[in-house]
Amino acid sequence: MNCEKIKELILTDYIDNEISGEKKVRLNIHLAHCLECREFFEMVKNTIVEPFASAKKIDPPGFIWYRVKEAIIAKQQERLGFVASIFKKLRSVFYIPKPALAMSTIMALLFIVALMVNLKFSNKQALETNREDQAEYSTFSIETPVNAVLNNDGGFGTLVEKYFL
Amino acid sequence: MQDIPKETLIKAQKDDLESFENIYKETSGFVYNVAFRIVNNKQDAEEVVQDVFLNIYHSLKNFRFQSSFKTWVYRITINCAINHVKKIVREKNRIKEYGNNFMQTGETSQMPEVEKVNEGQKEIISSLLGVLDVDQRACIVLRNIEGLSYQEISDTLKININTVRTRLKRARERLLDFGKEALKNEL
Repeated sequence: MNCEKIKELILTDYIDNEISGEKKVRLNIHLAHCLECREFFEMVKNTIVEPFASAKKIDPPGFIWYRVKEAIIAKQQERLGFVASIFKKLRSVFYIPKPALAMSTIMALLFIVALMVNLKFSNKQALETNREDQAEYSTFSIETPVNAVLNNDGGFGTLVEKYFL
Repeated sequence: MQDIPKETLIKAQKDDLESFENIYKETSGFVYNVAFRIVNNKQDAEEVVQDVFLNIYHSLKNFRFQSSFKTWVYRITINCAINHVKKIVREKNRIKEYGNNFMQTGETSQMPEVEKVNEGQKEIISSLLGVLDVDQRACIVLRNIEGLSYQEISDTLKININTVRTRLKRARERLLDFGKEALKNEL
């Protein structure tokens, strides 16, 4: 390692204890033999490291917390006020006078009930018709022999049969 | 700073002001010191601390416990402080411009005298930090005053570890030059 590289390391990793074991040993050996680098290290220590090492820690003034707290509470209230104002705006946009709202609700309910009743009855009627048809067909199938339905050719006398046979 | 229990953080995430006050008590010390060293002025540091804690309060819901809470707080502090310094510089430049316009029309500006008075009151650390740009200052504060490792600084500032090394090197070179000049002036 030359002096330039040593000085670079002194300015960074060496004074900050970020240097690895072997590198540190080599640097210490160099410092022991090189007066220029040793003087540079002393200067760095006195000018850069020591003034900051003696830096006083200052306590923050107590009023800062009260300011922060006040600002947080104000923000919370503002947020609540914002939500309330949105509800207010929504109410004014969708405002419907009460009697009209009640009347429209009743009308809607009546309509739904009427629709359901109507559906129920129409279904019942369709079911009965279907059942009657089935009963009639069953009676016909049981009482009428198959030959009576068939014509002389042994067919049912349909147009399709006439065409092909 | 002691480790803040996870339950306290979870409660604070649910808008519990008492838990948030506990977080403030634990962290406000280093937040204030870091902010003060970066903005180099007590009044501005107070404003930054306020900003930092309001920021923490609003962003706490997004904290997913994937990184260290302390690193997260450091990051918010550094960002708020750097933004504050940039804002002050912008304002100063505007005032300077405004002052120059007045000078041209025969009026005088009071700003330089006020600055001279403040210069005289500064302690050594403030003077040293004053010669650095804000990014270098952040690195020096985190390393030399807060004692963070290169890896921790890299995590806090979200920059490569070699960038941390380079910023520290350049900052220290500048500090050495400043020291030499100050010594020359004394002689």
